[in-house]
Amino acid sequence: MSRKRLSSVLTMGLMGLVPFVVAAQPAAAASSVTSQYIDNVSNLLLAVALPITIIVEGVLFYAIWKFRKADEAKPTQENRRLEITWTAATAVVLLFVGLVAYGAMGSPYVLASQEDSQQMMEQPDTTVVHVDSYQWSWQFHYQHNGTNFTSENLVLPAEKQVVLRITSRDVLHAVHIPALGLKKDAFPARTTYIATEINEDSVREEPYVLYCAEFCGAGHSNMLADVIVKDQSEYEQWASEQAQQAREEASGSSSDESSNATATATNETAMNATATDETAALAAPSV
Amino acid sequence: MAVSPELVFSVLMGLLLLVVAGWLTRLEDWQAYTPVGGGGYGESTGHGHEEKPAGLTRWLTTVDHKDLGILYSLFGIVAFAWGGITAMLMRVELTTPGMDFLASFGGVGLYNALLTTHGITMLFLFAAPLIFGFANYMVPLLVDADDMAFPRINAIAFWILPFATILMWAGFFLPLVGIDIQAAKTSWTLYTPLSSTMQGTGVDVFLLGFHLSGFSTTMGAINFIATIVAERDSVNVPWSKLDIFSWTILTQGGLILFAFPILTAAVTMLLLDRNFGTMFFAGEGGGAMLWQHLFWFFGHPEVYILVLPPMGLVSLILPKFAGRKLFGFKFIVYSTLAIGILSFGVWAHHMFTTGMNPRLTASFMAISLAIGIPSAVKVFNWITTLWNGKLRMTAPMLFSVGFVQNFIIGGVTGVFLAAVPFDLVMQDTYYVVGHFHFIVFGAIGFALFAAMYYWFPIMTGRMYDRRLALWHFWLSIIGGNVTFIAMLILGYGGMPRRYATYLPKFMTWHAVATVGAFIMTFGVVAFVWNIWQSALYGKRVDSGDPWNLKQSDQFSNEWKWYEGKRQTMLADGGEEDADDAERNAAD
Repeated sequence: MSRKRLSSVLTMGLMGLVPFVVAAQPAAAASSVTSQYIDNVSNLLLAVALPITIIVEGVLFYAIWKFRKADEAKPTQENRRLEITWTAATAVVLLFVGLVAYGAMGSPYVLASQEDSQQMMEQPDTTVVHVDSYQWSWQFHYQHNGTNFTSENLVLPAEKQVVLRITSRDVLHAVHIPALGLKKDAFPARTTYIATEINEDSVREEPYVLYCAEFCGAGHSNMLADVIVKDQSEYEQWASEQAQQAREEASGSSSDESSNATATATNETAMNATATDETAALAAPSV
Repeated sequence: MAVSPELVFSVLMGLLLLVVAGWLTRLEDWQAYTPVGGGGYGESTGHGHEEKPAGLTRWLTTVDHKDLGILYSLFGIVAFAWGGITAMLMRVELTTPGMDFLASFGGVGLYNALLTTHGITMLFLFAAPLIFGFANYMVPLLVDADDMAFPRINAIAFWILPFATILMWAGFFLPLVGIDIQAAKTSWTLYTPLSSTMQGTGVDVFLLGFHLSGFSTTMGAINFIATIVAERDSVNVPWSKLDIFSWTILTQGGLILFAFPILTAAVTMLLLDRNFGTMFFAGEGGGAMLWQHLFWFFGHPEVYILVLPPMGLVSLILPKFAGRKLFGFKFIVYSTLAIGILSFGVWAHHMFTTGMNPRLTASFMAISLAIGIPSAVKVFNWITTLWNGKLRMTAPMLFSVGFVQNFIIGGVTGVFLAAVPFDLVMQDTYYVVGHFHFIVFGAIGFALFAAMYYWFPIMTGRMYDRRLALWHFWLSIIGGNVTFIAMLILGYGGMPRRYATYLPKFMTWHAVATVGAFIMTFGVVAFVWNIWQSALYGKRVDSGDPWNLKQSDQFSNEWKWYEGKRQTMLADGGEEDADDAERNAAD
């Protein structure tokens, strides 16, 4: 009797899930391809998990409310079928979670392997930024028409494939741009990659925030940087201005300035100083 | 060489302390204002005899599992106080975005030291010792053993802990007396190269303490395994009748044996890196990733080391107040073993953002999701145990139900984090912090409170104050949910963890979290006051069955032992000497 009622509660609960799953639309206005994938997963998970959580908590409270003044306890009987049923039901729900997640993980914009990133960097249309982290700030190295320059802000073009090559000079850091759905740890002696494409709608004057998300010591919570998303023409303009400036500085510089310029101009040299042989070798084609 | 006044003062102080210590060891009933007959049975003996000395010497020399159980529990509560104070200092600081409250005491540096010690203390000095405390007291009684298998090792394992703790906390107190050893500011995960390059002896001192606490835990685990396997009375308690708490302690022991050596190795390597110029975590071969793999290969089983025995406690206590046996006992045991085994295959889910091979992340995701199945099975079994029961909402019952309530949210948010794409944005944000606080405070903490109230009559011979216990429960469950849900919301907003300062846009939810933390603190104060007062002056228990367990045929071994002890005491003419009673019981 009560066993039936319990299973009917469970069935109703699972039925109740259906509209939520159906209603879970793909994220309407995601900020980047990456966050589109991730928001999709996140929303689907929420659509499934929220009702399950509410139902299970509800059953818990209902059981307490209903049986707190019961006259006597009914003896416990083993019920193998019920055990197997809910084990299987949980497995199905978790399998669903796994499949949803796995679907998104296939995209290199979510999880870029080293090979994926190398291939993307070779494509001529890709904007590559070398994100260099140190206690406690960021530097962003660009290459524009053969000229290297460095920026204090991460400026990115919209509607264009972007690869961030991430390194650290000292301890671990992590690039964390929640508004664009981007995150990856930064290591000394290792290069990690983020690949994405930012949507046109994300172009705005107000900068997004890049946080350091891996504990790195005293300055950790101040290790922020601005992320500015520009549309392609504005980005081109900004990049050529920066490159122009860098060229002028390099040509009209005194000796100490030129050493500074070498550091920034030879992006790859800076890389090699920290990268393992393997990553350096892999990075070579992108020069 | 001139004798400096400081030196003279130190020597005098040392002598004074020696005198005080000597006086204390001779003092028998040290709390003179207690009613005649001393405190509870566990608290102090009326007089010494050939087996157990009186006064402080008894506590310093005891190898009795019950005494050590009480010592472990007291130690756990002291550590809980320190962990709680550090948490509150951080929460108050985080009420506002800037660095203000702590600014004059040490600013960001102090904040980072606090977050390190809070994590380590709550996991290794509060939760683990308190679990060991209950296991020490109860497991030998539950399995009908005379004592732990190795009573002396039991005592050694406990006495290592205070020294480990002194080393781990030293950095906070030594600067106050002018010794320049700063508290470690590495965060509890000790990620290299930050931890291997951070200047200061304080980190080494801290690491040595961490090291020591690992020895203590390993010795304890060996002892529990040996006790349950070899000292169990195989006639009265065959494997088929072993209670669920002992099952989880046995599983926990197995996990500890496999996980802690990894920690020991990793910490040794880290100490070598810091002091002897080795390059385990600095070089290019393993480097930073090696530390993370080693640390989490220990660290994730550690989570289950801490959560399995509390699950056992809830599985033990819940049926007692539902008036019916645990539903699906076998399945709960199977799921415990399943979690134990699977827990060694999930460690890299802490490392999804490190740029590891995507195919590897998929397999770690699969196992992390799979471990959700046995966890969910447990929840369903607990709820079904309540169903059709006759519920008595006593304090231990309320905390057991509170465990289930919190564990549901902690578990579901854990499934979210197992999904790699979700984890990629949430890793190292407050979402993770909210998730594991639901587990560590909401589940583990609640189960330990439940056990404390449930066994309070056995351990002290007295009853706790029910009204205060209710305050403790409601403040904890409301404060906990407010704080940790606020943390989940902060995580959705992208707020990174371990931030001493933050952007103003996060202020609202940080303020909510702080308010919740204060509510919890009031609850904890009620708890500590209740335990302290009730242990000394609470109403005496007037039967061997204060929970009416005989009625529902659940009068288990530890209560039988307790009833036997009371009866022999009465036969003795009411002589309140626990040891006499015990000796008679043994005859």
